[in-house]
Amino acid sequence: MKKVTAAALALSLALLSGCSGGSIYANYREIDRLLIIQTIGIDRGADGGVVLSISAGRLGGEPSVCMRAEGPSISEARDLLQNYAPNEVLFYSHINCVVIGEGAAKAGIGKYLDYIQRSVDFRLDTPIFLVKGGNAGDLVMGAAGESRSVTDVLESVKRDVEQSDGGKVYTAAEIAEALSFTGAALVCCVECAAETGADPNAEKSEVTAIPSGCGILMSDALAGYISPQETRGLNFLSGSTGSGTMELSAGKYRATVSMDGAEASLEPVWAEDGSIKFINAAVKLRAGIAEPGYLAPLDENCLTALDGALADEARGWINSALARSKTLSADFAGLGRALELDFPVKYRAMPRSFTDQLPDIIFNVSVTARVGRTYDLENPAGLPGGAK
Amino acid sequence: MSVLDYLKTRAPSKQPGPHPFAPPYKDVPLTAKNLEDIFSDCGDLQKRALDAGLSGVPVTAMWLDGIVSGGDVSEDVLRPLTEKARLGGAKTAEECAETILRGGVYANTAKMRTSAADTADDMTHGWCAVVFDGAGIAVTFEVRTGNTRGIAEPTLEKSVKGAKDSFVETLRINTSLVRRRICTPALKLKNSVIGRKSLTRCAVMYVDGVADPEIVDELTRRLDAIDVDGLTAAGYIEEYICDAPRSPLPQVVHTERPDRFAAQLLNGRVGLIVDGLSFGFLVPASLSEFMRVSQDNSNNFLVSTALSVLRWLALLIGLVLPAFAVAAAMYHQEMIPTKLLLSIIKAKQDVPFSVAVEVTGMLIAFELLQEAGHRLPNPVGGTVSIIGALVVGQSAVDARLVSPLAVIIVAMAGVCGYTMPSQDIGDALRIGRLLLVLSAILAGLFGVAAGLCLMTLYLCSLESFGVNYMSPMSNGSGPGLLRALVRVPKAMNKFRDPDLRTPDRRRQR
Repeated sequence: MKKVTAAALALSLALLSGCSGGSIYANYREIDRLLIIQTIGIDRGADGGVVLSISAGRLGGEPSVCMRAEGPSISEARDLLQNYAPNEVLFYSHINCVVIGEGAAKAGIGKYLDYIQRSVDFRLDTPIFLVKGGNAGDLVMGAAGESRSVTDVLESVKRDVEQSDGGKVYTAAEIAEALSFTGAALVCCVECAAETGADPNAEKSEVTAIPSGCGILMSDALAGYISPQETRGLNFLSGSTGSGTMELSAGKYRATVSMDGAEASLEPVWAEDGSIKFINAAVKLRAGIAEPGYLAPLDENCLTALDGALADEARGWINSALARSKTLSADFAGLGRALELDFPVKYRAMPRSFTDQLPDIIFNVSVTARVGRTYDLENPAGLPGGAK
Repeated sequence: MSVLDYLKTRAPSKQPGPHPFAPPYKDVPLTAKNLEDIFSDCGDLQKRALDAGLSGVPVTAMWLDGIVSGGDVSEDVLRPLTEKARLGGAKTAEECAETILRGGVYANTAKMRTSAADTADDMTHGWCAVVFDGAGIAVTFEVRTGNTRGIAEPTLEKSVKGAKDSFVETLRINTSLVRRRICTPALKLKNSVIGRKSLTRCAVMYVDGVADPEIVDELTRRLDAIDVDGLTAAGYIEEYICDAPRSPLPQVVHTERPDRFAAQLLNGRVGLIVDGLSFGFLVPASLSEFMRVSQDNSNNFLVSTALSVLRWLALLIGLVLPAFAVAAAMYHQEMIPTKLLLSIIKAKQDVPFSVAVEVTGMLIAFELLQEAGHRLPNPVGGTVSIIGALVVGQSAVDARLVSPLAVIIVAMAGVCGYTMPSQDIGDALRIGRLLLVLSAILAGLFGVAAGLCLMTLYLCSLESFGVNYMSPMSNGSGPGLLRALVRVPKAMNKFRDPDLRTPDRRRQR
């Protein structure tokens, strides 16, 4: 009886799992023939086609392999790329970055997001970058060098954005979700720039990517940009600062401060008809002196002045980003979702959607900042009034 | 029908008679001549005619040289018998035998025998027989030689804080080692003899009131059902008394440590000691019991628990790692972290064989080296293993015959196998590992998952003396799983394992 049970279970495993019928063998690949694609660039081709640029992974000391092909669709472009490398199997399951050119983004990235979601090779948590004022292919092909690939460059950008600015490089899933929920989303922007300083005698300068704020997607197409400062303001509004630094100047006082943290709260004021009249946004910032100005003593007056400067600067960035949001009537900052989580009943009882109300909502942004002395070093040696 | 009932219908009934296997000379009259005939062509048979002062009754002392102590025969048997004053002027053989049994000779153990079969049986076990021809009686004395291996330190189950004695090949020494640790008359010892020709003596040991009487009876019944010529290796016992002899998994715990043996008797298990084997057997067995070491009882409970979890992890890694690596490298490359995958591809570029061939080949090579290490004498065996691991492995990598990945995976799995407290489990692990690798080659992770499901099903279907092989994990309760992994502090461990169905469950207040 036990043997019969075991055989029946084994058979059911084989027949009911979906892995039967030899489909498992479709996944068989000789590992040494794989060419690991780590970054893929998508541009709009002629006649609405797709230009696909790929950068294959490399180990230290090996040049990265880059290819480009144009086809009417991503799938056909992939087939063409495979033809360029007949001895290798292009393996797309390790894509770390997807780069989209500005042209393709303006035409709409919905079909690319749809492809990413449908494809078994792509992962939904793949970060997406937008090339501001350029093509993805130029970045993918141009950033490849002897000592690095575009993947290295973009991973460096990602670290910079996430750790220094407290921002996010939005993934395919997050962008798709935001688009479907609010109709607007942000996508991390980079700008191509010729790399200088690495090797001034090099015949061909390599291209690098520098963070450049975010692109605003509305109805899956690029609708504009927000600057890196505005992006940082939105990060403050979401309670995130990263550990990056800021230059502050208030009269005679100057200093570089490193951000320590932030607290943010949104308090809507509801009108009688259930719509939102005001939103009071309160942000508290904490920072520490990273580098004093060396011209004035680091006394309480200085710190108070720096507090004000930091608050003013942050308030300006936040207001600027919110003004852009109101102008476009695009809730790319995700304020609606935040309010829905905090006030679900009132939110659902609103007569109009949050996005429709957005141009009419008045934002009262108050920012308080506290700049502290790092290590509580009140009178550091070498500064005016400091220890001898 | 319960498992025990089923087994009872399967085994043959116990053989009747004074001798368990009824030898051909069982009805032969007891005379010195007949005993000589029984032991004809036995060069070690020694005899000596005695003058015990009985007229018309020849008295002959007979023994098998080598298994009796010559000095004891001379001092404790022959000398008193030849001192006529000691026999008190007995006139007949019966009177003389009675006098001897009442203390006429010094030997500590003496038995009256009336059949040649019993006398011959005694002689083969190191007794000296004094045969009274014509009267059909003999008195046998235990004068077994003391030339046995001394009690030494355990070689396989070492313990830093544990006892330093281990079982030897002599039954009585072994039973005494256990009795020294459980000084209660409740420690019962049932003797039996196994083997038509070898007549090997065994002792079933258990603590009355603690061990489940059904398990004791079942073990005795299975032992009695063994009908083989000789019992010269552990396999004869294990395969005959276990529930599933065709299973690669061990179903009888064996230990060379008397302290562990005694501890398990107190836990409610039933022990078996066989003359000639330097370890004791314990039933029922379960996988969790094989994963324990006696050191666990000596270490701090946190340390023991951590090491126990580590051993279970090693079991899992040793079983699954090669198969998982093969499946991931052949079918599921997306599961491998990117940098590792790039590194693997680079290392694999110049290797002409597929991952399947590499890993299977390395596993077989590993088994060969291990087997070679076992066959060779100890000092050389270790060297062969080192040469195999370092020289052959490194050379194979340098020659691009295998990739470093295959070597690392197989070596890791091998090291995990070596952490198994029981070598039997380690051996079963090797078979399971190879089967899973083949499953992975055939069907990737689906094959591995299916193989693991079947293995789990098989493990849960196994029983040992009515106790599930996966107990206490299989009883469906969280504490059961914890009991397998965690060594609770002694003061909190108040009850015996419920799966052993001990009549007295409480082990301490």
